[in-house]
Amino acid sequence: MKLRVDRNLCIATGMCAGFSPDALDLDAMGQLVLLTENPPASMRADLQQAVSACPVQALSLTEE
Amino acid sequence: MVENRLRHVTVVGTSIAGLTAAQSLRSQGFEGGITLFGDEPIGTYQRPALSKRFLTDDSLEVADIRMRWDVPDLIFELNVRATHFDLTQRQLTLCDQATGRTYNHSVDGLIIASGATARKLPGDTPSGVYTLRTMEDALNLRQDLKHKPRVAIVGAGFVGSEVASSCRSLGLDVTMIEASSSPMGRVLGERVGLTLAGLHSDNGTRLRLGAGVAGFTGSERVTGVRLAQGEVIPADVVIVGVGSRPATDWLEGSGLPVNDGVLCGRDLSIGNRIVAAGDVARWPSSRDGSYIRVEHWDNAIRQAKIAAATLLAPPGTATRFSETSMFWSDQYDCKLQLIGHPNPDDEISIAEGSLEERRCVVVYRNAGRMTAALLMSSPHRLRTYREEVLAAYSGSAKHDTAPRTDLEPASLHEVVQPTSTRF
Repeated sequence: MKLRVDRNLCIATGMCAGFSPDALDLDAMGQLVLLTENPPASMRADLQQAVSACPVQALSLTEE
Repeated sequence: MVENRLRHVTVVGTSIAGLTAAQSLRSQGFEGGITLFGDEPIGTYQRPALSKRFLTDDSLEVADIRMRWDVPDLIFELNVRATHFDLTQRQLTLCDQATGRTYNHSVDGLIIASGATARKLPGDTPSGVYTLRTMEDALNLRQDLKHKPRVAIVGAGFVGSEVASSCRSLGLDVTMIEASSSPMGRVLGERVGLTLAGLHSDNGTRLRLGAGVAGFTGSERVTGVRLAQGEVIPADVVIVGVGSRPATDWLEGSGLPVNDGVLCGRDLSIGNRIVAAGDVARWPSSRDGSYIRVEHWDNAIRQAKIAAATLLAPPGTATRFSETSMFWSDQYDCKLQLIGHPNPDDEISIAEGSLEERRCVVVYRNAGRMTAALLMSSPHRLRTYREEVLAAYSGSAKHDTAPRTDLEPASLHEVVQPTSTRF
């Protein structure tokens, strides 16, 4: 899987990190940090929740 | 026992709670029909943007803030308002707002996600006075803001504060009027409220605190806001942000329990195959059993998932909802992130940073137990404090108080198995 963030859209609400804390975090500047760009399948369910929880739809998860 | 399988689910509300509930039904394997009814002419969109970037950036079109999803076989009926529900007949009455036609729809499973509507001030409202809740509200307000009006905002809560920030970023003259002694102070405490007052002042928003509103001046078009003491704040545009009320008009006389929201059990169930989620739902807090209602994006999503699970679960096995949600608010250069639910009488301490610099972590405690953490421009502390607040809530859940019975609808007597909810 490939996790991507559109930095033009991301406003660092932290919603996604709440659903998938193992893959996503915020830094001090309010930038989203992808802890992994190629997350393992075990993170899929959490990441799907994180993607759908983003209020600006800045996250995407694709099968690659 | 004859198996009585759920065949169809009706969702009243197409905002984030309704959409997420429908998505969750599908992701949990439900293959029956799902019909969603929404009272706005467009489907799910990013409502939080209405007070922020959608208001300030008129290059953004409606399509730019629509939510995209790839869930199969959801039927949307839009611009349709639910007007009545009959529990005995399990029949929903709807009104097509384009034609005025009224029709009935038979209900098997029901998800109540009708949200809330903006509270208005009593009395006549001249043009130029807005509430901000719907896409239509935002489009009309945005159009009016192009004429560089003097802006008055009534209510320094969540919406008012964000709109003040947005209007200042457009270079507009802004006065914000608040009945209490500080912006958001009733929720976040007076010390934080006074800090936020400084944030507004430093960014050029004039504040009138402790000021009640008597009405508006101007007959056809608004010319100002009249304060209770008689003074008039001149304004060409007024935004009223005095909270919202749950959209439960259609449930009056339905047989379902309504009291400032529709009353649910801890698993968000209301009765047989009926659940609720989002701004409209009022449920017994896992902390002390008192009924609460929360109007935030994160809460709507978390509740929608649980409500969908409850609808699909065999009786007595549903997951109960644990309410540790969060909200964010962007005001000027300050990012607020609140995790948990502070009480008005909580003890406040500054765990990190300084309030004066508006870069800090404020911790709320009640009887020694953490109830919430507020991050001011400290997004990197989200992980740590979410874990702390969650730990404090799960600690309190072990003490497990029974729901209060004075408001308790009959359906709540079903046993709800305590299970842990993943956050």
